Amino acid sequence: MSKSTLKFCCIALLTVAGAQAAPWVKGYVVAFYEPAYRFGGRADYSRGTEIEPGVDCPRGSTVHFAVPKQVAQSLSLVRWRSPKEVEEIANPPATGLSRDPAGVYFHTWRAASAFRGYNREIETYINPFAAEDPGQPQVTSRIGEGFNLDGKVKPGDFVSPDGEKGIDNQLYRAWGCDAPWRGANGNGTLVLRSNDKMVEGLYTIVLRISGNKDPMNDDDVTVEIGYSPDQIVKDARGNVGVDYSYRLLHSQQYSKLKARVKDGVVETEQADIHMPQIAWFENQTRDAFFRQGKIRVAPNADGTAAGLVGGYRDFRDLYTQNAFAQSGGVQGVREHEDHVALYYALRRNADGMFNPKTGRYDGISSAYRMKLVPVFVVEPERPMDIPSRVSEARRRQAFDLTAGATIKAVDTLVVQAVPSGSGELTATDGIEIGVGGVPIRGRGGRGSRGNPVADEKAKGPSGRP
Amino acid sequence: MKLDRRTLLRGTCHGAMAVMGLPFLDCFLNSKGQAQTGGRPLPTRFGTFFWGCGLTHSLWIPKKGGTDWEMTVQLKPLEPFRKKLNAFSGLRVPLDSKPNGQHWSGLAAASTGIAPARSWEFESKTIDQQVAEVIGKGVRFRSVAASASGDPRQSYSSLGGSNALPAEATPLSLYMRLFGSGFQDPTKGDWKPDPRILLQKSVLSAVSEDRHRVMQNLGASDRARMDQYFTSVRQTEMQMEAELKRPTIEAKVAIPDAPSKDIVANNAWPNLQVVTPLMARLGAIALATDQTRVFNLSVSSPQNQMFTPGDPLGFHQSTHEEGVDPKLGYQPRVAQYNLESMQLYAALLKELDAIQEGDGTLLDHSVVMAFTDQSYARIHSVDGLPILTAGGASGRLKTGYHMIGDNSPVSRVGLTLQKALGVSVDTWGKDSLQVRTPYTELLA
Repeated sequence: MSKSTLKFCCIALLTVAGAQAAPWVKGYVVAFYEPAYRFGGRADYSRGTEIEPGVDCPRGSTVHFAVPKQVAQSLSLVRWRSPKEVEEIANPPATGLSRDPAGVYFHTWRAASAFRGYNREIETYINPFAAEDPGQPQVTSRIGEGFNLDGKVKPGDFVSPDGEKGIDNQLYRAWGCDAPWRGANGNGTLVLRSNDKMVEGLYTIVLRISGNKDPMNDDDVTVEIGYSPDQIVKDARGNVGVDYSYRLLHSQQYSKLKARVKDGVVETEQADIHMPQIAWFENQTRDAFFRQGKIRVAPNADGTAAGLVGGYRDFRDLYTQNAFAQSGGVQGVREHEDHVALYYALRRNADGMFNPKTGRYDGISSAYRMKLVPVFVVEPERPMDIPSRVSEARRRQAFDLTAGATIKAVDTLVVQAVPSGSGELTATDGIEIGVGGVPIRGRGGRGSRGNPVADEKAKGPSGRP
Repeated sequence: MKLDRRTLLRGTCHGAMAVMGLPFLDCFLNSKGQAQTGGRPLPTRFGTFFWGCGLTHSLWIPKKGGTDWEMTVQLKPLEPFRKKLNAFSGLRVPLDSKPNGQHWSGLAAASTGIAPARSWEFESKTIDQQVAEVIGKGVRFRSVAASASGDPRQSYSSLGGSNALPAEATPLSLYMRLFGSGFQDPTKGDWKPDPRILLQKSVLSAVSEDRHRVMQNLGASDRARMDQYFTSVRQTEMQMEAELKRPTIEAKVAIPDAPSKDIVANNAWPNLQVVTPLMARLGAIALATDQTRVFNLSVSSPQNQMFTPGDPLGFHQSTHEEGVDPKLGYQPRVAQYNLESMQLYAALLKELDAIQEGDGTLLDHSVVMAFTDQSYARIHSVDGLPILTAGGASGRLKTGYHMIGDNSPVSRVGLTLQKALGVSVDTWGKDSLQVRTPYTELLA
């Protein structure tokens, strides 16, 4: 090798080394966001409304309110209901050509499910502690995704798919068999639905990862995660588009964490994390608060990345988020889940945020998967807060009122009334719920609001000769 | 004896006089069978067909686009009308900053070109009313709506806001509206305009004259309300104009029998199978006799409550409760309800296509837009909303096409149809749903 060639090579190497040491930044938008539940069944088999049993859930997914037998079982736990009454509710007359067009089963069951307390006056979903636990099948397998949040390896912990022991994800243990969240390849109903709404514009999450040395190996990295006011942009094929620009707001749903990169995998320190929570209605869009949280981002060959965020979440937030998106009964019957069972499962499996006053844990370890698409993450031109939709203010207020009453109820174990303005007992398809779980025909059905002419016609035969 | 388009037929029904117009007879047409004598073209009609809860993606969308598309499982009931059909897949419903009002946003976006800020409210006139403003003048009814499932609230025809124009909820009420009382008897020798109508007309005229003076003293929102009010007043006036012209009665013919009072209209599938074709036939006769040029038929609410006897869930509940069969890749019971919804659409098209008119059929001189509220009802998804149209708008709309998914806003269909129907509109819709480019390949 000649002297000049050697000199050139040295300069080239120095240049490369210099480039590697330069500040770098990567941006991502969350294109799919779901609880890190690991489906253990066969992907090609189901039994009607039931999803395949598997190593995660030997009895399959939950079947709450799926069939009359199950409804009867659940209502038989209600002491003030007679067996005859239970049987009538479980099997309402619903055949023939002229049954109530709104659906007899749905409204009968959702109404009855809303009153299962120790007396007939107690609304159940706001006071879940006052009802008997109908039982929630729990995950029995040992493999699970997440982080070792407490630094210990305990008997109930999971082992990660990579073999890491001590994984804390008791939310998966508690809710991993819940029907709307369980399914192969993100096919659970609420997984699909919440992601459909996110991509459609309900909310947007972005990450920005920046360092000062080498994107593959760097011990001085910053990870920012938070809400973006820019809706997700789709490409011509309907997929989340690459390389669009998104603003990152420094709002309540924003966190900045120290991290390091090893072989391309970014992992943050353990700290409190604020970011948007999973939602499928606007009234649910709010902060997901992970205590002692962590984020991991592993790059894929195509430029996308797989993200994982975990930490301890307040069980009351998880319960109210799931129960009051619509109302406990509507979602329970439609999705074959029982929020009373979900409540007790959270309490049983809570493992963080010790509350010295009550001597109980208020938090539960959790982890969420994220599919990340590369984009540009930029600062807003001027500071701004998360925009609110005026048209949704009423529903948001109803959610807050209901959640507030519920949190008070489960904290004090004193029964709370349904707050005025709550959506819990309001009409669905024109049918309200009365005390004791009685469906009551309300004032007009959906879609008839403010249409007196049509409402009048709906009452009876046409006035024309 | 002179026959023209104003000629009415008379008959009796249960002892009461009933009157109906004539269909377009060949003698009204020119030698090519294309236009009414006198050079006026045959009127083009518009219709909508609404069903709730959409279709199953994997079962309705043909793989090929253009005219060489293969018939799919869920479009199979429409096979007889394949050459008169257009199918639009892959349509987007961008909501911008509006919430996804479940079972509403898709419906409203398809019918107004605007994503609504609130559920159960339209932010403008629905497309049928926009079209009716242009093609519906000078006929007895600006538009007619019918609900085959027996609920007058199941009308998706609106002048805007939360009010829908109430639907006729039974075949009998539809029949009586179209062919029962409402006209004074034009067959009597001493026929003269009804003094009540004259009186009402003069009152309305006075109101019209005061309009500008009143409007000057109102705020913007009140002006909008008054605009809507005066629009309805104007429509009433125009309807009266039609009723003040004496029709010439030349023929005595049998009119359709009134449907039995015993027909039950509700969500039961067996009942829908009976009621829908009946209402479709009455609507077709109303269009053919030029009593109206806009006919809207719904067979369900957006949360489609159709049910087969013995099924405890029905259509809507099944979309949420029935599991996806992993082998099939879809919800089997939901797929059956989807198919049945298309059978009801086919029933409407069959009635329109059965009436010969000039060089084709009534369907050839119409466009019927079938639309729904969800693309995937299980998760209340709106992107990929299915829309089907049938009829060639008197040759102004090419048919037989599958417009394969290109992520166009759903409003592009509405713009295309309005162009075909002669509505003077350059853009349609609002925000991301605003479109300027129709499907030019479909416009003849």
